[in-house]
Amino acid sequence: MTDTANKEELSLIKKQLADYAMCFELLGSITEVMSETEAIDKIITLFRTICAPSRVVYVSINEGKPAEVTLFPDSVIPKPSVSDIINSLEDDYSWTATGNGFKLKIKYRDKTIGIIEVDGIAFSEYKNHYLNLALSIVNVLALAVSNARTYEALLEANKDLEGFSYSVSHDLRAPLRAIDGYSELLLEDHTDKLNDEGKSFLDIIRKSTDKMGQLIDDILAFSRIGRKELESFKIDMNDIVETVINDIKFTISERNIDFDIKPLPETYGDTAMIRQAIVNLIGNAVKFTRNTQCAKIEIGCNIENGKKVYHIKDNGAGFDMEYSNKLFGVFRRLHGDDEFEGTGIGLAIVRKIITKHGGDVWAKGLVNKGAEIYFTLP
Amino acid sequence: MVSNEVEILLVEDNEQDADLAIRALKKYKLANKLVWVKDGAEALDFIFSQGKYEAIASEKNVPKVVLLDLRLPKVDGLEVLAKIRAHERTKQIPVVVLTSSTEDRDIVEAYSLRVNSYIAKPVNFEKFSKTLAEIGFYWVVLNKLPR
Repeated sequence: MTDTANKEELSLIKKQLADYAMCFELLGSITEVMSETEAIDKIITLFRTICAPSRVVYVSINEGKPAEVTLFPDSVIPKPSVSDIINSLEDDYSWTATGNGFKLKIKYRDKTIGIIEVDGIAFSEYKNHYLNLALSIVNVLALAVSNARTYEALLEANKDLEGFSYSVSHDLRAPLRAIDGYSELLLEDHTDKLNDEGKSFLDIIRKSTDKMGQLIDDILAFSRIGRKELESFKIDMNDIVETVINDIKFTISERNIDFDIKPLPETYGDTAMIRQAIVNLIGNAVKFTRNTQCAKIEIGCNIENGKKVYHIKDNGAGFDMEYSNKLFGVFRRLHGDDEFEGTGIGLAIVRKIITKHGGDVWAKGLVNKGAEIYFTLP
Repeated sequence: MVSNEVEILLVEDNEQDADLAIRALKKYKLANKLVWVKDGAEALDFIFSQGKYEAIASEKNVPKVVLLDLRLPKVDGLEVLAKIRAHERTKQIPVVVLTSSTEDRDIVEAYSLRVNSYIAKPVNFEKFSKTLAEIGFYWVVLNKLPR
């Protein structure tokens, strides 16, 4: 091999290395979560930066059909016709060299989700090198586009959900108010025409309406926590537990509960949400010790495997461990309304809050021997 | 001096809710000078003396309080509130949002439009009538407005 050939070889390798380096740097920004349009713009920018083509055509394919065409430069070149695109889609290739460039399909899980056509590259002698480069990153591009689509679908689903709970909040309460209101008016204004049975039926209607109203409020509170963005601050758990217990003591002055509160390490998270979780947990402990002679509630924290494991233990009604997996479900209850009132949202909210903070929550219990709820926080 | 021929403007599309609200206010004799409109467009017609309320002289149409539902046909409650606040003549009219919604964004938006009060309608009728009576008593009897 001659010196000149060596030099040429060396400069090609240098260029290739430089292109790969640039390529990977640009890839980083493509894999950030964004909309499909943004992802496509970044893909086009990547090819423009790497091989300086005179035109780039990106056809977004959705469910086997061309959805949108993005062009560079957007003013000069005519858009490819739909039939051209469909022909190109049906052709059996993953990539193909064209006159002065190349064309490749962007595939995710065997489905074509886009076609990119790079044409008129500045240094056509490097066509193969550019094509190799493109092929080495095409899977990452596919992943980025697919992620962007999932992200958009998720945003859409979230919006639907928000609209749904908004509508629940507005529309479901109004008929309930009418049922309750007119039952009450019947009792007030037409009481002489009702016998005792009639009056007791109306009482049942009104109690059920109240319950339904409570259920609506609870499901809304639950969904609001899911949608709320977390704030993160240093939290003094001792302070939260102390104020929550003081508030609760105020409402149960007739009860004599032995609160045993151990020193608690601080944590990080959304103060309002963590307080809500503590309110629910202590509220449960207070409720389920109602029939216990010497009610005792212990709140503490142990460090296990470097994790802060907080616990709230009581010696109340407890539960059967067989049902422990149902304890945290929405509207799941292990006690009848005649034993302990409630809708079954409390622990579901606790779990939502703790998992939102990246923690775990679990329970241990025995019937009539009490319940122990554990949760971890950062 | 501004005369309050109308004391309460009730903006409520749900007939039962309106009926229950008026009954609750009547009990405490607070519904004598009450006008009920069924959507946001009619509320604006009333407040700005236009449409079918054109004939009524505008200074007689300043209610002591507007009880405003949020989800309304045609023009929604927050738009009504924004329009009331945007005009010199009407910007000081007390507006109490009375709605089923306890969504944060509604509350925040209403306060940023300088609502005077935001009240969620209780489902329970006893609480609902008590709430209505309290609102009516406060805004119609106790509260003083600039002359």
